Amino acid sequence: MGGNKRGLGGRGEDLAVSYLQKRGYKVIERNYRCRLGEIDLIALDGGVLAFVEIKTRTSFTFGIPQESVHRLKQRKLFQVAKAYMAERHVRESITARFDVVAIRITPSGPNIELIKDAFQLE
Amino acid sequence: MEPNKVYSNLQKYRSIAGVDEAGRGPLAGPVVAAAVIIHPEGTIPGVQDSKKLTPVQREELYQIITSRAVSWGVGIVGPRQIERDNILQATLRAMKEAVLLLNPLPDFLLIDGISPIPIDIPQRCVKKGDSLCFTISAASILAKVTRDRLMMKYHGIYPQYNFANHKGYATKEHREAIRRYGCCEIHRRTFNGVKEYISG
Repeated sequence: MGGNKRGLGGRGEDLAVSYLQKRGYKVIERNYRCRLGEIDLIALDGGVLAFVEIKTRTSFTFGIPQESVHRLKQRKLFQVAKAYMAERHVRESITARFDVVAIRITPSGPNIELIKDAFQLE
Repeated sequence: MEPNKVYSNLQKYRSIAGVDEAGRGPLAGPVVAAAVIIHPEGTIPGVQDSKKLTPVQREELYQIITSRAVSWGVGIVGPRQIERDNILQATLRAMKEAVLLLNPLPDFLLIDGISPIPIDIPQRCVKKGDSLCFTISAASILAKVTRDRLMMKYHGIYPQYNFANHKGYATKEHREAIRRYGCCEIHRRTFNGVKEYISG
């Protein structure tokens, strides 16, 4: 599957996956979908289950990438994460968190930033 | 997230079995699968993916899991059958045998990996299930310990390969032993790293 056909987001996802794998993440799912919505990436980082949102931009015109995970989107991700954990019977003792990978495509190459535990729901 | 919540929408099932396998990759020995039903209230501290435990921890947990499980079963498929079918089919057969030994039979299966078992029981495959799901972790420990014990026995019969150390996996030591002594009865003769050394 080539990155071009899937557009900017798809290319960003490919970049994010190799970036995270280099840092020891074990990718479980890409583009996990259920009726509640979608999560870009689910991975194990050590023993921690990480739900990863990938944000790709070519400029900062509409703000920095991680800012685009607004409150409503956060709540939605939380719902999807819970559905995933329920469907897979994930053990209750597992720690889960939300990470954001912010990618900026620049003329000199991609700039990748990983924000672990980017947001919590209160 | 919410540490005390059970993330499960499988409550309608009364008995859920975890299923996992050990020994899919090695050049020698059987593939071993285990299935286990654990009482929903009965969690066992320390149970996690068998690959993250030491042999001593696995032995201890094996004792606890087998004593506390509602039911457990182990399926073993040997090298000749692995050669006749293929390793995936052999693994699924071992898993099926393990499940069929359970009494009562479970009404739902959680299976490590991506391949469903050809059996008439509702089931779900879970990638990285040995890390994520408690019952699959428990099954992974039973499978691993059972297989390791078998390989220790084979070590007594074929000491030149030192199965006690690598359990049949393709370590440098094992590859060199195959080069030197050829293969023995328990080598998988269809596997790369073995088939090159079959005489005749």
